[in-house]
Amino acid sequence: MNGGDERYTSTESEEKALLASLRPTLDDALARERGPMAWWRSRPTPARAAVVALMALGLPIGLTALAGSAFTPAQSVAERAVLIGLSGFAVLLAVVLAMRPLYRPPLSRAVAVATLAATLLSPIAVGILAYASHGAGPIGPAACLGMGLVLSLPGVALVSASARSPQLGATAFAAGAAAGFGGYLAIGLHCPHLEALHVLVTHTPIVLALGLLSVVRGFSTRSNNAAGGGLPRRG
Amino acid sequence: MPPEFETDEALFLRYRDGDSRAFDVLFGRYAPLLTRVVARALDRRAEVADVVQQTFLQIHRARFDFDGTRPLKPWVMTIALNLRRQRQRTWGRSKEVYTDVEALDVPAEPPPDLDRPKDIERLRAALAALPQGQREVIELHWLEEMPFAEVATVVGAGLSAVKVRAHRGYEKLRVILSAEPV
Repeated sequence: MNGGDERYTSTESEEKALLASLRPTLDDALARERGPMAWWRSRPTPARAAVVALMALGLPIGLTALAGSAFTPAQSVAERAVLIGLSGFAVLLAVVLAMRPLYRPPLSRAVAVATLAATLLSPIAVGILAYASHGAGPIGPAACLGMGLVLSLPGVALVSASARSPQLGATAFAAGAAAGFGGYLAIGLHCPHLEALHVLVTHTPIVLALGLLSVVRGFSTRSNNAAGGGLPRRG
Repeated sequence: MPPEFETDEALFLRYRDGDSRAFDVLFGRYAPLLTRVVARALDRRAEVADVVQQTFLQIHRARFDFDGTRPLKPWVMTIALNLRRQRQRTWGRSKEVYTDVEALDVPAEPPPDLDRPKDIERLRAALAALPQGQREVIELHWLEEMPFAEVATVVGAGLSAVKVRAHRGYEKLRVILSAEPV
């Protein structure tokens, strides 16, 4: 667009030409900002963040509560509270990192890494606590991982629809992890296998896998943009 | 009052309410500024146009996040610098540098013998030699004449840290620009 690979030399005439060519393209881009997706993306950040967090936490808890007996009976109330509490803490951190708007200065690398580490440590801590109550145990059925990923899909769709521009690196990981906590929590509340190895090998990776997939997707978006793939859509 | 005489903030609130004429005036005020800021770090015409356009698009998407009691310019500049950094990282041309400096009382004005070079290429090269944290502060304060308080808002640092970055940056810039151009 606008002259391809030409160098910009910042002369007055070149600036005028660039601005003149910019306006019609911008008007086209703004005209495309219509429909429910555009409406949702333009909602204030706290509102979008709250809905994403509610989706990740509220949906599995609500559905499980509605189902009543669907709570795994082997899980004590205290264990359930720890699982929900730690997941809620991690979801909040992930959402704050993933949905940080562009009109805020970037977080320092140290703060971003610490936030991400706390997000990741939460499901690992649940697995370690499971060891104290139920021992290491066998790895058990691997279906939990697949089921958890499937249950996370609504969260993935919502996180993706809520992004105002492409998410990269730590932000992408946090976005994927936030979505993954929906499936993780749903599985954690239902699964009758409470042993540490099972939790760490088939539940915790739901969050990790979606975080990593989101990073890969971000890299791919970045590569497309670097190759001249048009306007990025970062979040 | 004709829109040309309204403040940026009043215009933006009217634009948010659907007044497209207010956007025209804002575009006229901000597009040249954004183009200058973006072009100091990116040198391809398509990239400059893309980032400026993307900035306006992000402003549009985030319009309901804007707090009308705060100034618009730092808000817009933060978006532009974030997108510029992102584009620089995409092309692997820049490294994030964060300066963690506590309060120091140092002069942070541009040295009186420091002239702005007329040659954009020379200025761009000189600025590119500075760490990112210092470069952004100097661009906003010296070239865009933003007060330090607003610069601090844009770069997300404390006032004194921003002054320290400016002081150090001006010292380096003076050395670079006083050297004979090759």
